[in-house]
Amino acid sequence: MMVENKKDVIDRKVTNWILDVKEGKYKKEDITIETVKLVKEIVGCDEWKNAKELMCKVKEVGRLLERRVSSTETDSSSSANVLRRVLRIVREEYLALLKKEAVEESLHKMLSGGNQEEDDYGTPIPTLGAAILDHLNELETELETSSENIAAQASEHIHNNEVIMTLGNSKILADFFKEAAKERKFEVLVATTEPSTAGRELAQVLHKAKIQTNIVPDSNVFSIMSRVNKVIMGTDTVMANGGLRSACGSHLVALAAAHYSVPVLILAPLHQLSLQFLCSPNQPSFNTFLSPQGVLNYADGDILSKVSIYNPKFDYVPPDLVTLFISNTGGHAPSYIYRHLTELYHPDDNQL
Amino acid sequence: MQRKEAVQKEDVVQAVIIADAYHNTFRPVTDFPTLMPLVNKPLLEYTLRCLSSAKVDEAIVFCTSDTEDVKSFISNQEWGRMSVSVVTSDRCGSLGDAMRDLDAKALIRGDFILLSGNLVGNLELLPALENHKKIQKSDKGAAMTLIFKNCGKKSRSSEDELFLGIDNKTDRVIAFQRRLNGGMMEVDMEAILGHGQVDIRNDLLDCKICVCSVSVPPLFSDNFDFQTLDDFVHGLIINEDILASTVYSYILPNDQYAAGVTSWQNYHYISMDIIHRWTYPFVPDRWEDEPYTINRNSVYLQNDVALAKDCRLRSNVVIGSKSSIHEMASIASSVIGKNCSIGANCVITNSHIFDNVNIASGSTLDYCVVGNGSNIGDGVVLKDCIVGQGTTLEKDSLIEHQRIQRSKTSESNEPVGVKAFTYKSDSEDESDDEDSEDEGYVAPAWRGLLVEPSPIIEVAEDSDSDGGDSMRPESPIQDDANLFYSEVVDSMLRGYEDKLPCTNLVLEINSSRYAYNVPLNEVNYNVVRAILTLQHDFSWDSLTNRIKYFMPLFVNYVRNASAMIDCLNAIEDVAEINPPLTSVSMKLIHLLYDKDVLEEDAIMKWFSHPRNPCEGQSIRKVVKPFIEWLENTESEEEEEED
Repeated sequence: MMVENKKDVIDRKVTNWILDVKEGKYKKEDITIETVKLVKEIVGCDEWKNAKELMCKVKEVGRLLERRVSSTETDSSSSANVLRRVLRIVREEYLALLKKEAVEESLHKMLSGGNQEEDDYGTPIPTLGAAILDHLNELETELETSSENIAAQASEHIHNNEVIMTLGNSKILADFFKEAAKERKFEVLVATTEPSTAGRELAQVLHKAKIQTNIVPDSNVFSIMSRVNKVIMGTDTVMANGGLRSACGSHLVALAAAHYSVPVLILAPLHQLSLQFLCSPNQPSFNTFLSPQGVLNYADGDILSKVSIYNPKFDYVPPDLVTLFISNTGGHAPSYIYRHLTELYHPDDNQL
Repeated sequence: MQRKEAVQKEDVVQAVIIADAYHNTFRPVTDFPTLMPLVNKPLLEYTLRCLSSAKVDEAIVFCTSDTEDVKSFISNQEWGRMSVSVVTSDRCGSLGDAMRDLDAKALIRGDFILLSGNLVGNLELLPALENHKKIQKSDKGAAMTLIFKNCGKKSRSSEDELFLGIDNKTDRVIAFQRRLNGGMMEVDMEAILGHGQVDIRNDLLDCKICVCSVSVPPLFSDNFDFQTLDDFVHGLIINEDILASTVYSYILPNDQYAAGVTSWQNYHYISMDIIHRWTYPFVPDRWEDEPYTINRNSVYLQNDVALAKDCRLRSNVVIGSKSSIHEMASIASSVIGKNCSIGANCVITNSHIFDNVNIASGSTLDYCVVGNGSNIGDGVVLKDCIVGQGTTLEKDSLIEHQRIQRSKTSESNEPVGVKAFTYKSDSEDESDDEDSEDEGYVAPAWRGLLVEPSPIIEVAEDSDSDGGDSMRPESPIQDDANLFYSEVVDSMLRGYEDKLPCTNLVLEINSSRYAYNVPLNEVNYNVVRAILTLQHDFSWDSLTNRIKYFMPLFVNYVRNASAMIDCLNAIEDVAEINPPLTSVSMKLIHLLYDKDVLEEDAIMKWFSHPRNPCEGQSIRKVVKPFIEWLENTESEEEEEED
C-alpha cells in the first residue's frame, strides 16, 4: 500500500513538473537544473529496485517531455541532454559499484563478468542510490555554475577597443559581455534579430550595464561586418557535427563573418550539446515554424490570404562557419564536439 | 507576472462554454457543431486547449443535447490543470436560456469568461480579466468586456461584419451594429455627445468570447427577451439608464488570435488561419497525439498518407492519416480527413473533406464541404455545395450552390441522386415562428463556403422624402421588413376570413410595425402589397371585394403624397411579379382615384418619375390611357376655370 502511494506521488510530481515546464514557470536557463532536481527526487524515493528500473523511469520522463512539451516552449533539447547525462551517471555508478562488489566477493565473478558493457543493470545494489545522488549533486553544481564559468573566460576573448557583433538574446550572452566589461572597454553591435526583436532586448540589458552598444538592422549586418573584430553569439543547440541550431538570422551573420574572415565564437554550455544531426532542410524535428505575427500583422488584411508567410524559429549554421565553441570547460573547435559527445553520453541512450 | 498572480490569488478563473450553437447553420453535415472537426480536430478541443493554456482553472461546459458525446470526449483527454465539468439542461433553446439556467443553478462565483464551444485561438485571458476588474473599479455597472481582434480591411463573411462605436478613453462600447441598414450606421447622437471622443470602427473581428461580471446571469434572468449575446449587448447599450450596466471592449494584442466558428464561411477562413499558423501553438504539427509533419507550401501530412507520385498538393493542404491521393489529383487550400480516398485526376480546391470519404476519379470540388462517409462518383462537379453525412452522388452529377443530404426529410427536398436530396433550412419556412420572437435575432446565413465580395451599397441621397427608393424589389429586403410583411399578411388573412373590423387590423399592423421598427413608408408599401397579393387571386371581382373591405386601411395609411407614391410603387411591384394584375392595373388605379385614395398629382408624379428607367414599363403602358384622360380632365377643368 505504501509502495503504491509513493509511486503515485512520483507520478504526480512528474506530471506537475511537465505542466510547469509547459506553462513556462521556469526560466529558460534554469530548466536544466530543475530537471536534475526532479531526477534527484525520483532517485531519492526508493521506488526502483535496480539501475534498470531507474533508467526506465528517467527515459519515461524524457519521452513525456518530448511528447508533451515541444522544443519551442522551452529549451527542451537541453533537458533531454541532461537526462542523457543522468543515465550515463547511473550506468557509471552501477558498474563501478558492481566491480567493487565483485572484487570483494569472488575472483570468479570478476573474471566471468569481464565484459561490463553487456551487463543488464539488473543487479540490485543497496548503495547505488546514495552514490548516484552524490554524482547528481556534482552535475547540479556544474549546471548552476556553467554560465559563470563561461563568463569567466570573457577577458580571454574580448580585448580593448574591439568591435563585437552579436545577435539574439540570452542570459549567458549578457553575462559574458558584463564580465568582459569589468576589465575591458569595447563596443557591441547588436543585430535586431527580427521578427522576435530579441536583439533589442539584449541591447537594453547591455546599455544598462554601461557597455557601449549599437543596434544594427539585420539587413545591414553584411555592410557593417568589415568593421567587426569578432562575432560572439549564443545558440539553442549544438548539433552532433558541430553545427548550430540557433536563432533565425545567425546563418546570415555567420556567412557575412566568413566573407570578411571574422572569427565566430559561440557560447555553448555543455548541456546544449545534442546528438542530433541535420539530415535535410525539411527535417520536421529540426525547425519550428511560429505564428506569422511579426513578419506580417493580422491587421494587414487581405494580403494575408494571397501570400505564404514563414516564420522559422531557428537557423542551421554549418560547422565550417564556426571558429570556436566556448563551453564551461574551455574553448573547443567544432571538430572536437564528437569527442565531447562520447564522453558525456552513453551510446545506448541516444534514443530516450 | 506579478499582476497575473494577483488575479489568480483572488479567485479561481471560471469559464462557461455554451456547447450548443442553437442554430442549424451547419446542417445537414452536423447538428452539433461543437464536435465538428476543424482541420481534423473537434472544435471543442481547440476551445478547451485554448482555455487550458490561458490558465483557466475551471471550465463549465453547458450542454443541451448530445451530452453523452461531449462527456466521453472530455473524459478521454487530459486538460492540464483545468478542471472540466459538464452541466446539462434540456430545456434551453438559446444562449439566453442557458444563462438563466446558470443563474438558477448559481454556479458562478465571480467574474467569468463566457464563450461558445467554437472558439479557436491562442489568446491569454488573464490580462483581459484583469482589465475587466480594473474597469469595474471605475465603473460599478461594467457588466461585460467584449474581446476583439484587429483584422484590418479583410474580406470576411457577412456574419463577421461589425460596426462599433468605442469611447476613445474608456474603451466603452457606445454602438454595436452587425450590418448596415441601407449603407448607414445608426448611432444614438445623445450617447455620443456624452463622451469625449468616439471611434467608429469596422476593422475589428468579434472573437465571440467575453469577460462577464457576476451581474450578467441575473441580467439575463431579468430580461426574458435576451436570447443571444447580441441581444444582450444591444439591450445594455440602448437601455443603459434602466439596466445601469455597461459594455466595454478589449482589443487583443497583435500576437494573440481568437475567432469563433459561426458559419461555413468563417469556417473556411479560420481553417486557413490555422493552416497559416496564426493560432500557433495550436497548429496541426504541434498536436500531442498524432501530430502532422509540415512541409513546404504549408502542406501538412499525417502518418500513413499514400500519395501517388504525380499527385499535386499545391499549398495550404492538410491530409489525415491513412488517406490516399491518386494519380494526377490536384489539391489546394483544402483539408482532407482520415481514411479518405481521392481518385485520379480529381481537382479539389477550397474544400473540406471529413473522414472516410470516397471521391472517385475525375471529380471537381470547389468551395465544398463533404460530410463523414460520403461517396462521390466519377466526374462529379460540385461548386459551393455542402454535402451531408453518408450521401452518395452518382457519377457525372453537376450541382452548384446546394446543400445535399442522404435522405428526404420534407416535401421541399428534391432528389439529386438515389441517396441524395437537396436540403432547405427549416428557419426559411418557419421564419415567423422561430425568428420573429425578437428583433435582434438575425437568421443564420444560409449559404455555403463561398463568400461573394460584399456589394458596395450606395446611400440613397434623400431616403427620407423619397421612401420608395429604399424598397426596390431587386435589393434584398431587410429581414425585419420581411418579417413584418409576413405578419401583416397573416393578420389580414385572418381578418378577411373572419370578417373582423378593419380598425382592429390597423391596431395589429401598428403593433407589429413597432415590434419590427419598420419605417412608415415601408408600412404603407407593405400594407398595399399585402392587400393586393392576399389569396393570390387577381381577378377584378375579388380585387374589388378586397379593396372595398380594406378601404379603411387605405384611408388610414395612404394619407399624403409620399404614401400615395408608396401605394403606387406597391401596385407596380406586385404587377411585375403577377402579370394578371397588370391588365387590371388601370381599373385598379382608377378605382382608387375615384375613392379619393390616390390624388391626381401623386399619380402623375409616379407615372413621370419611374424609380428605375428600364423597369415598370409594361404597367405604364397599360395605365397610359388613364393618365391621358387625367391630363385632359385637368386641362378641361383649367379651361372651365378660365
